[in-house]
Order: sequence, then structure tokens, then C-alpha cells
Amino acid sequence: MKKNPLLQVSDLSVTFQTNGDTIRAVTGFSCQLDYGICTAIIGESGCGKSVIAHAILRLLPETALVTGSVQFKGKDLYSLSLEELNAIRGRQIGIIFQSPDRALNPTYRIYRQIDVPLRNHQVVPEKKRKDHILTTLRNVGFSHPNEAARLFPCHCSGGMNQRAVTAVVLSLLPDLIIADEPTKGLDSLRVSDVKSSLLKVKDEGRTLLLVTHDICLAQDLSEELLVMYAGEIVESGKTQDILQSPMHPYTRGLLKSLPENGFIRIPGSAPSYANMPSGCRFQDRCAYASERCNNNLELLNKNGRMVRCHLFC
Amino acid sequence: MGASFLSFHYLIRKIFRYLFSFVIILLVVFLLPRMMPGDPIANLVGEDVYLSPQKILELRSAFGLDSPLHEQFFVYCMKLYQLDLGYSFHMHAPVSSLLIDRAAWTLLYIGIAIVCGIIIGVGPGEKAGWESEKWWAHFLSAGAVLISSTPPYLLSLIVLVIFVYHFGWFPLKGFYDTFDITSIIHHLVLPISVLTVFYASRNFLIMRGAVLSEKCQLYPQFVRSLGIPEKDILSGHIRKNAIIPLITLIALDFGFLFSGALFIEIVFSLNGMGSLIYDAILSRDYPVLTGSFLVISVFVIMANILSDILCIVLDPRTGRNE
Amino acid sequence: MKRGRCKRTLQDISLYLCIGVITLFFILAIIPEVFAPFPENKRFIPYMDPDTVHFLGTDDMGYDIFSLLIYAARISLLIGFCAGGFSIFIGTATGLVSGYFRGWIDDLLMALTDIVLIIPKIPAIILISAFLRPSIWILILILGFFSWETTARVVRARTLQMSTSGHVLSARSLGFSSYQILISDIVPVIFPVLLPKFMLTITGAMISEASLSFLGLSDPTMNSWGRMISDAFTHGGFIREMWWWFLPPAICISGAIISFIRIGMVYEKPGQETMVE
Repeated sequence: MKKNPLLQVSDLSVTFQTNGDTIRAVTGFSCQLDYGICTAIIGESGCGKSVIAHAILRLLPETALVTGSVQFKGKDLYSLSLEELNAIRGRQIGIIFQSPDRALNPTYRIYRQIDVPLRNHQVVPEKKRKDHILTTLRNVGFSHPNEAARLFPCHCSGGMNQRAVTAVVLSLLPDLIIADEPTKGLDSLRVSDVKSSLLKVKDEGRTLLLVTHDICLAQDLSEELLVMYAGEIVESGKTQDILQSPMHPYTRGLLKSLPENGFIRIPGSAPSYANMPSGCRFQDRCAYASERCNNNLELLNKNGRMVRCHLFC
Repeated sequence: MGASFLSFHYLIRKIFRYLFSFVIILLVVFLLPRMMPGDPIANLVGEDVYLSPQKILELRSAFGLDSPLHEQFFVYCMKLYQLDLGYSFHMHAPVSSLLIDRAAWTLLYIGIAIVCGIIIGVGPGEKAGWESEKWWAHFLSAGAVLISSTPPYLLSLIVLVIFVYHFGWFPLKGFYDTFDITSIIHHLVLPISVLTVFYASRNFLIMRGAVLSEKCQLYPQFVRSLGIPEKDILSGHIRKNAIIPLITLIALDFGFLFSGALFIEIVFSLNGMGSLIYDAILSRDYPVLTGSFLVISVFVIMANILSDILCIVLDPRTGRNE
Repeated sequence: MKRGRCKRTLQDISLYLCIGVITLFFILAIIPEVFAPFPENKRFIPYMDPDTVHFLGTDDMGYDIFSLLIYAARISLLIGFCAGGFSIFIGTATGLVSGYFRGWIDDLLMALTDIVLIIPKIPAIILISAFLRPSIWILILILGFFSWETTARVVRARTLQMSTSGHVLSARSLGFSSYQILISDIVPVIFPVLLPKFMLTITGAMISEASLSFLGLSDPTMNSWGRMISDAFTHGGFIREMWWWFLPPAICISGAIISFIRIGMVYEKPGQETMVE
């Protein structure tokens, strides 16, 4: 019998109201995360990926209008009280933030950064806490956890802070880990470090939602793939399938823009989120655009893969 | 704590600069009366002081006015080392004993005001920063800005007119008449209240600003995503970081103790160091003026060092941006 | 959403109000004769209460207070602006040179700045004024001299940031001289930072001038708002509860200060309170 999905997002839309502009950051996002599966969301910067990650845990500011539903283990996260939500945040769902330098409290030592949430959720009994923290630090790649624990973020390099943030999230042993752009701005050595920590997380059986712009990382880690453009999903399905035979023109353009495939840019730039074109949002940059593209289109099911394109009607 | 080699290095460099400043202050204080137009004796002793020709000669040799400048400076520094700040001919007393007498009172009431200002200002300021959209936060902020934009002596004057002249609730002068505790308190209520209101507004605004800017950082959001409840975010994370600039500022307050006292004491006719300085200004009693300036400078420098040390201990990022 | 727009309108109203106030003071400063009913040295019966002829009564020497108030605008604003301008000029120049050229010039200038920063300002100003008994221009010099350090620091920090930015580096590689780069690239970026600082130094200078006048240390021949308050204090205006004598100049000073501060807040974003010092 197939187990219920760990996380079910249905028709999630996020709209921001600022100074008279209505910014539709995410439109109609739906996905299903099964236990133990790694799903990746890829897309350009600013396509709304991080907004989704924050929306799942209700971390968006009050100016954001969120519609749709987010079901975690059968519970609607948006109808929970703040207390119940805080019991889930961190302990069952954890987000590894971008910009680790700024995500850490500058006046706390690394040890304390991990200790405070640990204490809050009472994950391990008091006596075992210190060992747990040091073990977690070792697992993320610190060869001298004792010394690392005593450092302040301002004394650490970017890579060390990245590992520290990962350690903070992992120490709470959550069931679902959302990694928000974990390799942004890192050199290749660090990227492989991050990759091995995430692989370790997968081996432990946890569910991973990887939000990234790095297609190679998505390829190595994820089984399921969602391609986003301008706040919408344009293609989704098994990672290997999509990367071997991409269907949507945007996905094809993305793959062609990889260095090993010729570094060919997709012409034009993303539409303004305040003034979305009606119909397909990619049509201005699409080589196959036609009259039909002005009509709105739902995701079409093509043999288990979902595509949002008139070419496949 | 948070100190590292870099921060230590930073502290040493700062202390060197303070020492340098002090030397310059010494030089200025030393040279000013001697370089000014007019008779150096008058500049050194003060005006409106009658001196017999014999006394003038005595003073010339006592001040060493006929010897070369660097020798005079050396003697000057030696005297300072022995805490001899000169003699006030107006008040007929050595400057140091005058200062000690008066300083105690000033320290007393300003100290109380600083403490009260912390109690009243910091808590509401933090709340106003955290819940910055509420109406009362805007209201209090506007009030605090209004108070902070008024020159302190102006506020004291207005308070004086209302509560002393008009209502007659508080006495005008006569602070030293009796050593009765109730009388002293009666005299001190208004000045302490005015000062407290001032310190409290400033503390309020700074704390509010600090909390506002910490709120916008990424780490509170990260900690929120880990399930820490809002009030713990405020108390455990934001408060600790927001209070750092305020603490260093309060440390500096102790340095500016005496300059702040000046106007308050004039307006409320208190007998502290401020009114001592004021009388010295009126009568051009230069020994008292220069002596007080030196003492104030020392206090300011010590307060600055204290504030730097606090900064290093509390914030591990200190000294990294130099 | 509605509250946001309401708040913005309130902010705009307060800004225009403050600009209006300052403009009014400016006009009074430039052409006081048009507005003042009497010249400042015409004497009447002293200690008169306000009436239809003398809107604010007369002071102890018999001068019409309302006219004095208007004429005083010139001196108070002049001192504030000149001292503020002087201080901004030195501070900006120091900060620019320091942040752009770096190296030993930076160290030297920053050391100098630190040193001046530490000297307790009001006591120093008092001391110097007691010795020098300054005229108005020396007063401006002194006031300006003691407030340039914070400007220098802030300008230097921004210049440091900017001098490693993309378009400055490309301008350099294209051969523009340092002076050209400073003026055309860096200064416009610094301006949002300079404006609040300028306002702060003006207000600081005005407060210091008022304080010095209060102590009797400023130029006794000049008539400023601070001087009026001081005169009221020393010539029995307070005891007689002649609020029409000292409150109007006090309100003028506070009003000017608040207006300057509000104008300085024009570039402020929420959470970035630079004016709170």
C-alpha cells in the first residue's frame, strides 16, 4: 500500500502587495513529497523558489497573501495555531537557509546556535546534548568539532558557516529538510562538501526538498524534478527523464545553457512580476511561440510527466 | 568571552589614540592662557582679581613664566601628576579640593538620573521596536523625538517656570541650607526628573532603532524557522544584540556626567560641579575652568575606554572593520 | 494596504510642513524688515504684556519682542548653516580622501579624527569661548570644528565601499582622474548619507549656540534666539513668568531643529534610523 505523502502542496499562490503594485511571486504551485524521496525545484534566480520554501513553514511576512493548502503528514499547516506550528518548525521540517553568514546570530558561538533550538524542542536528554552537538558537527564536515563549536560566525569562513547552518538544522533530526540554494556562491570544493552532507542526509532516510539553480546538483541528488519559471511550474517529473529528454522549451533552453552543452543563453529576460503577460509567461522568449500561447494553460499530463505548453496539447 | 587577538589589538590602538588625545588636551590647556593676547598672569589667574605687584612677581616665578616653554610644560605636568590643579583666586581655595567637594553632589543626582533613564527608557523602547506598527509605538516615538530635539536646558527652563514659579511646588534655591533629607529630595526631584526624561527618551529611541534593525536581519527569521517562539526570539536573540550599542552609549554617559550637569545646575540653582564651572565662566576664573576641563577630559577618556572594552566583550565583531 | 498609504501621506505631510517651516525661517532671515513691525533697536516701555501693537510684548530694555524674534532668525540660522556647512565640508573632504586613497593617509586622518572625537565638545567649546570671547565667525569656526568627525567616518565608510565597486573600477581603468571619479561617481552616492548628517550638524550647532548664549559666552552684540532666552533668564523674564518672551524663541529653535531632522529623514528606510543620535 502506498504511504501517504509526507508533504502535499496544493495550488499554492503567493502575492505580495507593495506600494500599489501586486507582485504575483508564485502561482498555482502543487507538489507531492513522498517519504525518503529527494525532490528538486530548479529555476532562475527570482522565479519564486525560495518563496515556496518559506511559505511552507508560514515564514512569509504579513504583507504576503497566501492561498492554497500545505498539508504535512495530513495536517493543514495554515490552520494550526502558532504553538502547534512551532512544534513542527525545526523539529519536523527544517530549512537550511541561504546566506549562512547572515543566518547565524553574530553574537552566539556555534555551540549555542545549535544548543538553543535543541533545548527548545528537547530532542535529546540533557546529558547527551553535548555529544549530540559535537557528533552533528563532525557529520557536516568539521574535523575538530570541539574547536569549531567555540567559534563565532564572524571568525568563520563562508564555507564553515554553511556547514554550521546545516548542523543546526540537522541536529533537530527533522523528517523533511528543505535546502534553500545550499551551494549559492560556493566554489567547487565546497559544493562537493555540501553534496556529500546532503547525500548522507538522504542515506539516513530523510526526505529532502532541494531548491537550487544548480542543475548538476539536482541531477546528482534528486529523483523528482520540478522546473519553475516566473512563479509557475512549467515541467515536472522524474529527474532523469526530464534531463535526458526535456519537453518544455524553457527546460530545453536551460539545459542548452549549461557549459558542457554550449553555454547558449536564452534570449530576453524574465517578465516583471507586477505585470505578467496573459497566457504563457515564457512566450516572449520562446522560439516556438504562436497565437495559442496567449491562452492560459494548465499542466498537461504526458505519461506521468507534467508540462505546461501548447506544443503538447 | 568574545575577545580575540584582533579585538585586543584594536583596543590597544584605541588606547594609544586616547593617550594622544589627552596629551593634546594637556597641551591646549597649557598653551591657551600663555598664548592668548594679553597678560599671561591675567589669563592664568583669572580676571577681576586684584593682585599686588609683589604678588604678581611671586606668581610669575611660581608659574615659571620667565623660563622657556618646555620647562614650564614639564613643571605643569609634574604638578598634575601630584594632582595639583592650581589655585583659584576667586574662591580662595585649591582647585582640586573645590572640584572634589562639588563633584560628589553632581555624581549623585546624575547617577540616579542615568539609572532611572535606563529603567524607564530601555524596556518601552524595545517593545516599541518589536511592535513598531502599533499606535502607541508611533506616539511614544514622536514624543521621544520631540524631547530629544529640545536643548536640555530649554526643557529645564520650561519645567522651572511651570513647577517652581507658577505652581510653587518646588523650592527655588537654598540647596545647602539644611542637611535634611526631605529638603534635599525636594530640591532634587525636578532636576533628576528632567534629566531622567532626557536620558529615557534617548534610550528609548536608540533601543527602538536597534531592535528595528535587528528585526530585519536574517537570523531572527532563521531562528523562527527552527520553531523558537516569538517571545524567545525577542528575549534570547534580539534583545542581546540590540542592547550592545546602548550599553556602550551609557558607558559614555558617565563620561559626560559633568558637562550635562552644567545647565541643569544653573537652571535649578544646585551646588554641584556645574554651577562651579558656571561661576568660573562668569568671573573668568581660568584655573577652575582649565582644571575642570582636564578632569572632565579624564572622565570622558576613561568612559570611552570602558565603552570600548564593553564593546569588545559583548560583540565579537568589534575591531574587524578597521 | 490602506494603512500603508495613510502612513505615507502623513509622512509626506510632515515633510512638506517641515520644508515650509524652514523656508519661512529663511525668508525671515533674509528680509526681516518686511515682516518685523519695528526695527530691533527701537525702544519702548519695558516689560509690557502682549497686545495688538506689540504681539509679544517688550523685554527688559523695551525692545519689541516680536521684532527681535524675527531679526534673530538670521543669526540663529546663519550660525547653524555655516557651522554645519563648515563641518560637513571638512568631514566630507577628510572622509573622501581617507576612503579613496587609503594607505597611510587613511591611517593618519583617522587617527586625527579619533583624537578630535574624544575631546569633550561642550566643555572644550566653553573653555575656548571663555578665553577668546568670540565674535560670530570665530564661533562658527569653533562649532564647526568640533563636529566633523562623525561625518568623516561615515563618508569614509561609504567611500571605501564605493571605491571597490564596479563602475568606479571601470572608470579608473578608463583613465579618469581621481578627482573626476570622486566628484562624479562617489559624491552622488554619498549624498543620501550626507544629507542627514548635514541636518544633524546644523541642529547640533544651533543647540550649541543656544547653550553658549545661555551661558553668556557667545557674542553679546548678536541677537539670536538663544540669546533671547538667555536674556530672559538673566533679566527677570522667568521670574515674572513672561512666557511670551522666552517661549517663542524656544519654539522657534525646537521647530527649526525638528524640521531639519525631518528633512534629513527623507532618505531613510524603515529599520535604518540614522537620525537617532
